[in-house]
Amino acid sequence: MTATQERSAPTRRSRRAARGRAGSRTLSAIAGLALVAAAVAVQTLGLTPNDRGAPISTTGSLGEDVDTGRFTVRVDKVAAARTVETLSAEPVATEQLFVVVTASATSAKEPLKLGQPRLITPDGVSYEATDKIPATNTLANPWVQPGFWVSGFFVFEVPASAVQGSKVAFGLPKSALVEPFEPEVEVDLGLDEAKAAQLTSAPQDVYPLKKS
Amino acid sequence: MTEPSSGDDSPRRPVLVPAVGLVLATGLGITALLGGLNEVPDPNPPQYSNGQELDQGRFKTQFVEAREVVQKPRFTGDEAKRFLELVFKVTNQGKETARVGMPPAKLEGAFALSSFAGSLVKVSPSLKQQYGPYAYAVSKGVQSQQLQPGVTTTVIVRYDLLGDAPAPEKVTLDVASFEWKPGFNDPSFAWQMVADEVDDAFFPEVKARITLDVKGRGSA
Repeated sequence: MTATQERSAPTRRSRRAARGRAGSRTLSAIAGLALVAAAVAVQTLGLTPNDRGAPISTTGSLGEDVDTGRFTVRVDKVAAARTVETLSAEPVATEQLFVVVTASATSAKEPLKLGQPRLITPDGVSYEATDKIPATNTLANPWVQPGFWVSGFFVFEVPASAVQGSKVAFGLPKSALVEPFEPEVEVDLGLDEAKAAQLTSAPQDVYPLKKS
Repeated sequence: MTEPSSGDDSPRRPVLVPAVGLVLATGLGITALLGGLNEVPDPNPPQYSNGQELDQGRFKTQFVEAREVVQKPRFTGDEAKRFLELVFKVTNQGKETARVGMPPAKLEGAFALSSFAGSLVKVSPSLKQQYGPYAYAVSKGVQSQQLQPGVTTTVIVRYDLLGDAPAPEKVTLDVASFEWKPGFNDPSFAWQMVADEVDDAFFPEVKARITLDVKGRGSA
């Protein structure tokens, strides 16, 4: 009502007010656009559904005890080989490269088993531990009990280009009942350019998996 | 809104919006009646033969050959075993390890598979099997069920040839493809077989039909 009255009888004051309103309208439009842009930008910080379902990682480096609260894993040694000799002395060859990780594990409270780990490159390509080496030959086989350290091997079959800067992620075995936010240990193997080149250029001809 | 402006006595009826709305609704209705905007499945998928390469999304696959293989008996008195082997060279184009898997026994439900052999949705003629088929990756004589990312591996799908049944002259494979997308009721991304919905059931979309001549037929 008042608006119509004002419009029918424009005064100097109301005209100045209108001009001010137009200015503030541009300002609020800019502010609105800025807020919308900020909201869109914040969306990119959100987790993707895949990240949301991912295990909770505890990170560490080579030779370090990495404790998730449920289990602790330590990577003792990394080696590369063209052929791996299994516990039953059977040679297994590859066209790629075998990365043999010697690791130790212990549990905090209850006996458990480790799953087959994954080797992850800096660009996020993940290689499951190879099934060419029977799982019974790996650290996924023995029970991991509280108060004891067990050690063993995990073997990955990867192209030589995947070695540099790679990490290994250890978790629990896959089960039908999916547990949310599973614990995971992620160990940086500390393979900088020089060490990676050393591993890939001179892999061992035969790496025997032997209980030490 | 309907404030009368000076000089125009009869209020104009807003015609444009309802008219456009009507046209849109009619268009939508006709499109829906004609089967929607989905692509009509191609009744004649592209044909491939020996040695050709196909991009299946998750895998890049070369169809090397089909061959009849005779395995000598290990013990005297046993019969020689005969197999039909389909040979592929498969490159895993994904960022994670894939399974070799098994060709699906039925077309229904096959869309849920994400393994390599799972994409061989129809193999004809269908060969009677007692235990098979059996699929594996092989390199330097070592078998595996894994296809590591970025690596090209030979994959063999092996069918038993029971009794005196002759190997077929030709084998035809209907091959599906994969897409990296969220699941039906799971928002996380994964490799999913490209499938079409027909009468509330999903069927894999045939990306290519491969016809392979069977080599070494009847030898030995």
